[in-house]
Amino acid sequence: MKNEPSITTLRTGDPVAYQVIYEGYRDAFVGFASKYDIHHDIILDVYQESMITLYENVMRGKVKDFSSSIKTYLFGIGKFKLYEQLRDQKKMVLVDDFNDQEAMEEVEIIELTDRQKALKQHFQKLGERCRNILELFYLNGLRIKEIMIAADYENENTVKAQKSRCLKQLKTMMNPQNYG
Amino acid sequence: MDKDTLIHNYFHQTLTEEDEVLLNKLLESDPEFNALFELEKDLNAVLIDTGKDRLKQQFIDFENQEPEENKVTSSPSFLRYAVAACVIIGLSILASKYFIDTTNTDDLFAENFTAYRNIVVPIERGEGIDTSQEDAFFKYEMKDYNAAITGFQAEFKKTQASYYLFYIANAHLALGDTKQAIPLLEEHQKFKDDFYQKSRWYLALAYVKEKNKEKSIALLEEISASDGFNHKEAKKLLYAIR
Repeated sequence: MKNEPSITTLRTGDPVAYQVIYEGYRDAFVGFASKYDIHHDIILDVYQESMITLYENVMRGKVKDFSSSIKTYLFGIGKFKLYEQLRDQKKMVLVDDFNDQEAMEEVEIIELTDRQKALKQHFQKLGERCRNILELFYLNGLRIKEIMIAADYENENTVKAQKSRCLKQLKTMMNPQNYG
Repeated sequence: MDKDTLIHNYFHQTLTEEDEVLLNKLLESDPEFNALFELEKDLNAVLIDTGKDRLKQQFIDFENQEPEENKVTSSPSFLRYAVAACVIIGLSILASKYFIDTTNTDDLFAENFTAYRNIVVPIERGEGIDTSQEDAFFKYEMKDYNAAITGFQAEFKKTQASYYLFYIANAHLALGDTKQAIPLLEEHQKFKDDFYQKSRWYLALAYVKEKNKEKSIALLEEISASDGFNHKEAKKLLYAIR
């Protein structure tokens, strides 16, 4: 891949950017993993999980910048996950192929807390306009002015007021004690 | 700096040291702000989690539409393709005989249509929209199709880049206006640019919606016999319009 997406683009969660990476390195990863006795479907599963870890680490701010390239980072995660897979299947591997301490630290599975799980359910109950504005602001990183254009609001103050209403609605839906 | 900008910068990792001091001061001095901030942090985690689910589904969908020969496990064989070709020819004969005018082509269209994603100009959200081209594609990504059409038309006038025809047609299709989309896609076919294969799929889909028996079947047959974009979907669509 000549031009990898920038970290700024990846931070917006842009699905197109992640798809570009997925398609760009898919065959190389499958080629690497095929050296080992692993079923093709499992290799793809490992690759997809590695992409998801990449997404999560970028979105949570765990990755500030890629020291070499996205490919190196992604393959580091992928190799570590492959190693785990092979270990679970009790298969012999060349340790050198998987000797990447840095990647092990990157592959941390983060589960939602109970409070967050409840919030996820309540979020789904919000109206579409609310879900949209909250997602644009808190996930995609659009600024108030950009949301005004994207979601067709009259002015910036309307966006701010609507966002605040939606948050309050969510707070009310949750047990208010949860958030002061 | 207002609170919205401060919060935005926190979640998108663009806080300066000065901002950080300001945020910490606010969190200490304003309990209401602090409580809301906790909710916002949880919401951010929830949305990232939802994003993971969507991304996973996106990859699965992609794998399901990958041409067979790209998959390592499958061993391409001429015989298999020959059989497949015969099936397609057979199906197409059946299709042309039994295409029912009452088939709900609107539903078929809705099931099969997704506006083609913007791969022309990456929009870095949160970074501002600098050019009229970015503005048009930003509106397209935000599903503001009428505004996107106006923007694309202006860009096409300026640059004559053929892909604008493809995207204008896609925006019309997203608005359900096949009558506007068809001539644009037909025109776009002449350019044979990078979007040529994709354009054929969208044109076939538009013909289906318009109940144009002859043209939709002919085009779907060609697509499904190829390894091009959405060739598997084309086969399924041929089944559906029998």
